[in-house]
Amino acid sequence: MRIAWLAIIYTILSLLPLALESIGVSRLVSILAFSYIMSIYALSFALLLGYLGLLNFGHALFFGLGAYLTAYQTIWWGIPYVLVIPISMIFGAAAGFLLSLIVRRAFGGIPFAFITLTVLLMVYFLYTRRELRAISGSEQGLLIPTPQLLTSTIISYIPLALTAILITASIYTILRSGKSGSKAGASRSSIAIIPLSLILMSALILLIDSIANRAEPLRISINLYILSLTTLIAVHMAIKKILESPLGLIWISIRENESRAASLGYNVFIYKAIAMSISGAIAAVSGSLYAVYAFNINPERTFSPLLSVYGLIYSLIGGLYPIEGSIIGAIVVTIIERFIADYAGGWSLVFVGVLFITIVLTMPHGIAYYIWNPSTIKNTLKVLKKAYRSTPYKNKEQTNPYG
Amino acid sequence: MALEILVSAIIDGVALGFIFLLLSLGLSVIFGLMRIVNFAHGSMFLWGAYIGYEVSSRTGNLLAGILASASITGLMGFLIEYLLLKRLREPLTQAIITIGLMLLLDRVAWLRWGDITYIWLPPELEGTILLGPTIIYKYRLFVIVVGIVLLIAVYIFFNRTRYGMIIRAGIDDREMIQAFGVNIERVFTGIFVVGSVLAGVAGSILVPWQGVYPTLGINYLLYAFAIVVIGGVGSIGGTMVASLLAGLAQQLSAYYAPYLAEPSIFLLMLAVLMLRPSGLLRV
Repeated sequence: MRIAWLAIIYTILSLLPLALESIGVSRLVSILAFSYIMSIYALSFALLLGYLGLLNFGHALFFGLGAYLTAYQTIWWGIPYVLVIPISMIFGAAAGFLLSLIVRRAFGGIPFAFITLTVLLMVYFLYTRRELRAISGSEQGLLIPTPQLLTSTIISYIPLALTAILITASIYTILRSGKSGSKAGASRSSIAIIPLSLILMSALILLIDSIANRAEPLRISINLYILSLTTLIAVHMAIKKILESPLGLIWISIRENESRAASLGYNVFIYKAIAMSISGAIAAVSGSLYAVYAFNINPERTFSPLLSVYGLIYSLIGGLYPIEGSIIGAIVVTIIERFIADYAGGWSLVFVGVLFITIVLTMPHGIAYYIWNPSTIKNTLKVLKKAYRSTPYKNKEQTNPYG
Repeated sequence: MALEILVSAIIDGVALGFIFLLLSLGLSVIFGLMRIVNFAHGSMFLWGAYIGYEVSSRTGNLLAGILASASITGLMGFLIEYLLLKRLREPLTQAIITIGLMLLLDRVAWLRWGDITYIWLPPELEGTILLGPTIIYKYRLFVIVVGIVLLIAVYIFFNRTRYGMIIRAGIDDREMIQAFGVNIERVFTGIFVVGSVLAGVAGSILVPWQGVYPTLGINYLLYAFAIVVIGGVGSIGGTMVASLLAGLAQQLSAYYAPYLAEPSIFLLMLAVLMLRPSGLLRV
């Protein structure tokens, strides 16, 4: 049943562009689409950092790889966009495995962070060279034509199909429970789901109708919104499944005590390489979406070391545990940054810097922690006060203020 | 002919190596002792350079600029450590604080000084010395002399004084020296201030040679990270060796293979880390 409610939340979120347009903030649609893309990236970063303790400063490598592969596939080879994402994913996974072969001798801790950073910088320096303008686009960047997929209405049929599946599934459960007379609770929520899905279905038909009548840029931005939302939900569910599987448990055991995991017979390198491949594939997907979103990519935006640092910012401001924290962090940071950039001009980065410091000082466990444990919100200011009131030059005992 | 170029490349490399040393020594000790990945270190370097430029170009005295930037970056380091980092002793969270500070400080500097490259050379250090066919810039020789003096001072500080001993012991085992009754919090503040001062001095020394521009901080921060990792995190001797190696690598490649000048230090780091993951001198 939980999955049914998740599907309903997904459908409601995919209807959001309609609501935002009706209150006249259609610009927010594209900002949200961007924040979903960055959420996918943040998820892949948090997967490595939170579940294996691998701080990957070269993570932008996968993102840039996805973005540039998308550019090459659409510009040079004319591959349809439906295939572009899986192909970029395969290459991202391969790059992840290759990178883990490079860092084989120093797979963890600070050396790992800096070897990956070096590999990223090598690619970055290579791509910013003037001689390689033809493949890197240099400062002007490569222009990516908008794929057919985003100008049609096909994408918005995904949530529609989902609601149809939901209705049939609910009817099926009701019929079954009626026959065997089993759990009443399940059938009650199924009964609630049917009318809800019907309402959502009609709203979705309205959405598709309105998309078809829109001017092209608006249609593309709504389509991109739904596409990135769908990808984000799919990636999130896949990661959740992986983390609950034995593979995820082995990752956690490696994070907690690597030598113990090794002496229990697990090949630590292989499990870390698997994690790198999965994370690389996911980051490549986000890069691939970004390439279509920005429709103009250059090395400065895709292979920049600052992007890797942003992965850290997203996952720590949102909170590493649970992994949804990184999604929240990415959405919050992206939206705030865009709004500050609109109003503050040259001062924007100053405010962003102050904001990061304030959030980290008041919510050291990340924003998600407070959403999951609402009772600790009132402690937020208390933590800050305690930190500033205590005499600074005492050897303080490290205690968890929420514990 | 080839020999003269080699000689001037080596002199430039050693001079740059000493600037790298000043910059990365603080980073390395902060890294080793406090476990902070200090992203704000590059901003200290940048601010030191700007303040050094402002003061020395107005007074016409290089030393005044160096002293001014040392005192102001020292104050900045103290405020950052006392007001922010001390409140949260958690490595990753502190990294975010320093990232925020980096964005903030670099941007404030950009708002004040803009995209222009500032350069100011004291008149008495202008020009070159001709040593046979070799051309040696006076200022780079001056940097080497200052570097050697500071190197000796640093060596004496770390190996012959009580504070240096506490710091070296702290890098080795933090809990142990706390158990001996050393107030580690005070040591942290002190080392952060000293690191910031060294970065500021390095910045103000670099101005007459390469000038100061807005992305200087982040460029040199990346170099310094690379140097710290080459030398081994927290290893003082390793940082010294690695700085000189990195300076030489960069200047030699700038003379002989200009397209390698930017990535040379990172290539060096890659090579060292593949062979010795824990750095050159870390046991």
